Amino acid sequence: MTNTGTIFQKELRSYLHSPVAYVMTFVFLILCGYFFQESMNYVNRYTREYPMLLQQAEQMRQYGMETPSPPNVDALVIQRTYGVMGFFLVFIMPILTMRTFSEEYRSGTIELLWTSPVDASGMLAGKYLAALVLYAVMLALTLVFVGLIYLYTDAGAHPDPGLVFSSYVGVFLMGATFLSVGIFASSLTENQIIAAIIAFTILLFFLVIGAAAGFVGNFAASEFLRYLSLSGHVETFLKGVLAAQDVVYYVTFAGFMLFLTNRVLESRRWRL
Amino acid sequence: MIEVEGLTKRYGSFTAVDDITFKVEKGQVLGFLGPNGAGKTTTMRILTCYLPPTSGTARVAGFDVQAEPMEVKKRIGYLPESPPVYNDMTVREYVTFCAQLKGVAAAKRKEAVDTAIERCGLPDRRSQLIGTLSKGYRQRVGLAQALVHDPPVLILDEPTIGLDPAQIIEIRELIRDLAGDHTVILSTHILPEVGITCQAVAIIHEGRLRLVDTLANLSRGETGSLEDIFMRVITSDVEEVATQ
Repeated sequence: MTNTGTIFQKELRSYLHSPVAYVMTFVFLILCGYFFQESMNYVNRYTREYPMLLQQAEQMRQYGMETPSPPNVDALVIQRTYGVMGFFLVFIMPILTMRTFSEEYRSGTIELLWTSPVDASGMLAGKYLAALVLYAVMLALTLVFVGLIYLYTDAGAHPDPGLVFSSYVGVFLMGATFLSVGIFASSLTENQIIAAIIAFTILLFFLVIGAAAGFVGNFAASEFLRYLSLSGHVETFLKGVLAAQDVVYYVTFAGFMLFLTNRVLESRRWRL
Repeated sequence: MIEVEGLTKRYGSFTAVDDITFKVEKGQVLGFLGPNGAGKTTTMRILTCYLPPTSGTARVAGFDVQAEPMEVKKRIGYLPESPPVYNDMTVREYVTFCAQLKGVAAAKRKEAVDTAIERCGLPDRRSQLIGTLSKGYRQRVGLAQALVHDPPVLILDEPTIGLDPAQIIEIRELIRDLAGDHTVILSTHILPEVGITCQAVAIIHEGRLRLVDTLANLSRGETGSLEDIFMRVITSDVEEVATQ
């Protein structure tokens, strides 16, 4: 890997100078913010009504009514808000990464890069790291939510810091995987729109097979599909569990995508 | 400095460059002539390690383009047909990025960038966005990019295209300045340009090298002007067919 740092700086700079990154961050925060305030409202309402619900349940016990679960920020706010992020990222990541290589192909600057002392892996690493940093910043901005929860809940009802931490790790890993898919798609074509559509299709496919798993009769096949699905693995993190198998899944997935991208970059030169 | 032997490039069944062999001595400027689609750009792309050849070898500054591309890339400056610039960067940012990319040490970078900007006549445009520059200025930025690390070998694909007459003269002067310590290959359609800037000329037509010689040799012989030679070389096919 050569010149990774140079490419990294250049990419980060171009993210900061283009409106796409700002617009996408804005969209991401607005959408997450909406879900966050919805769940906060819900918790608020639920907390107020809880004594009444509890009383009701007490009276109806003989008819088999179960005791409602007590209001819980972890389950009602953290898990919900961070659970929907993956869904938004499916739309946001392809747009964020679509220009990564497509733009270089289209404007001919790829010729500059290939005739300078930089190799495919160095170029790829620089670009991927820059996208990761941008994503990390985007995600860091959502820490506001955690701050707001701390501000507006009583000391006893504060969220579990461990859960917050594992949720961030999970969402970050998932997003990092999405980025690798977006960069891979971008290396395939010089048309940014097509790159975004390819990335979006791949992501949606890996999201949907998780749902499809429920319809597969064969147990082993269904488990296999569930394991392959991109969204399934983040759920463990959202329960506060840092499981090695889920970390391995995301890291392998991203690694494989980057490996494919590297192959595409190398092989494109032979086909030119 | 540049040794090309039996270089061939095929795209599927189409042969873009067919078994060409030539040599450029250190400090020489070689003019690469030929009609459109003759294989000039393909040859240059192979020399700059952008494209792999189908067969044959090319050595630049003593390194084989296929075996040691990194070493070759460190020693060449390349201006492609369309300048490879980022429209969202200023001239200064872009040239600095190129300097960094080509491994100019951090301590010398500022000086190298300033020199390159100076040499290509860009000082008043240094903080302008490249996207807002005219074609001629973009061409100069491309040239600054090729010069910034002061490479021993320069490969320039139509360096004067899109420039106005005054700019063409400036760039010719620049290329003449470079000769001596730099080995230059430049392609062009403008025949008089070769007479002014080059010491040697290579004419390529339909992928085949038709003529390589020094200008001194050419003018000594009874072959007429460069235009005559060029026309004779590229129409010889037609005549051959006609006589058969």
